[in-house]
Amino acid sequence: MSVRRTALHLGKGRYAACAEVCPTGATLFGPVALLEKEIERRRSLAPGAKTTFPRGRVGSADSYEGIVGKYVEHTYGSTEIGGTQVLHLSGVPFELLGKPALPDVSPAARSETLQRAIYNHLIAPLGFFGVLALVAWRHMRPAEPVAAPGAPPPDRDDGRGSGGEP
Amino acid sequence: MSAFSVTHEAAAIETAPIGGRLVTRFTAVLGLIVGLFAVVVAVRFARGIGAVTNLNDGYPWGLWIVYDDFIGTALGASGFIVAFVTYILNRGAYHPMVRPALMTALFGYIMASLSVFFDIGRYWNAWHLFLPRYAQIDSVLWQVAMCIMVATAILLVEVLPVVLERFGKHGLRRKLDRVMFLFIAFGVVVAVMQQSAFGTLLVIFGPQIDPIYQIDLLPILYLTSTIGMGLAAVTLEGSLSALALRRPLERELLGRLMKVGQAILAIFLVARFADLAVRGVLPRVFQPTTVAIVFWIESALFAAPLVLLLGKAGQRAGRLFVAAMTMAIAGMMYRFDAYLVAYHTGPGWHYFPSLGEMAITVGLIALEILAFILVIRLLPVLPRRHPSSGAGRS
Repeated sequence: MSVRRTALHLGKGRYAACAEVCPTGATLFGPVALLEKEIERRRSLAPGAKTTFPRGRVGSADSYEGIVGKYVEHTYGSTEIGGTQVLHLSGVPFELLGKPALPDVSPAARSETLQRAIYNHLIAPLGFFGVLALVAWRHMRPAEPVAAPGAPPPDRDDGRGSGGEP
Repeated sequence: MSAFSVTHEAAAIETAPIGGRLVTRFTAVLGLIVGLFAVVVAVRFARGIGAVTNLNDGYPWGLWIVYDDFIGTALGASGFIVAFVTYILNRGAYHPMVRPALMTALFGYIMASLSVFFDIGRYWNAWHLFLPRYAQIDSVLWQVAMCIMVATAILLVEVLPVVLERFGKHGLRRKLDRVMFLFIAFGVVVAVMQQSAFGTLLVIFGPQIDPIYQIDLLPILYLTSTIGMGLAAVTLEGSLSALALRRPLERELLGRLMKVGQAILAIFLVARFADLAVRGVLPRVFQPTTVAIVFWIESALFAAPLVLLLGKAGQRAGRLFVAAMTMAIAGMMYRFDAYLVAYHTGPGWHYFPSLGEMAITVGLIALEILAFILVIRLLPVLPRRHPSSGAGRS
């Protein structure tokens, strides 16, 4: 719902609703490059010092004075699952918040690579099909004209059949 | 028979409708279950998916997808596998089972398609699947959907001779037989693509799937377990229809099929443990977790048929039946465990199928059995005469 509303907002020159209404600027909207710059700026400041925090959009004129926090060294979301478009600058390690440790590789990227390797121009499936069709065709031909002499049933007198059944 | 008419005539196996009453106590009970199913389906479409299922944001899929879809199509793969064995390898010995196997496969795929339709939230958009401009060709689920549709179409062609034969269109049937090899080959390709896609799906879930059920040997595990389940399904079907319809059991043929199954399961087990060892997950299965426990139960079920089928005693009808049952259950459990037990989307999410979900799944199975009974009574699917009944029995 909110994603949908955001999409409508963006069409009208507005931006993410959650960032628009956030009173403290804890949620900021903007291009990833600018957000990364903002994160870098805050990290470069000494914890406890005073600075201005933008509200709404990154680099917005609407801002307020606040105290710089002591941030965790890692920016969450920068590398997780291949890197996301949402960056988290946190004062508390996410492990302590019960968030799972995530790998740097995106599973979807892995599966996409796999899919593209297997189905590259459909060469592998078509090749597989070709081989199977050829084998099937070759097994069809010789028996076609006459039915009887072509294929004697191979398992008639196997000898194993007797006596086993209850 | 059908595509197999060439060798079929050589082996002198004829198929015929078995006739008989359509309304019996058994079909009446099945009809009742299907009636209940229809009610739940009506509720699902009238009140929405939340009204009948326990699905939630953490578990967006459950019983329907894992059983009806993953397991249904895996069992349905029996048709393609038997078609492969019979036609490609041209082994006349497997013929009597081909038509019933193809029929089961067809019903399996139709059941899978139906259950997807119940499961997707915006079912009214389902037709988008048919339009190329909506296709996301890197999507594994899209691939699965395509494969199910194509497989159903191929199976319809593969069982078409049964209908043509019934209505005496022999000229048309002969023409179809001439190109049938294409469909036989294509069916195998589609079945392989679809089953290996179930392995690829696990990759997308990434850390949400317990490492014990994550895999690197993508197609092999799902493919081998599918073949095992397919062979098991054919054996169970052969045994049960022999019992229910008082026909002689194709014990020797089924014994051969299960021998193939035994080899396939051995490959599966070696690949399963090799995969765990290569990924360094082997120590994990010795920890007392739920996932590790189901892993061992399931592995024991996979290993049991290897022992059950050993030697001469392994060829007895009872043994074959138990081995096939174990094989099928092991394959089912493997899918349940991977996609439900080992699937953790985050703390706080739980899922257990609701009565409504179970009613729909059981209803679909009842519908399938009912359709099968109808088909074998009206169409030439089962062998008229038993080929090895004379020589094989003492």
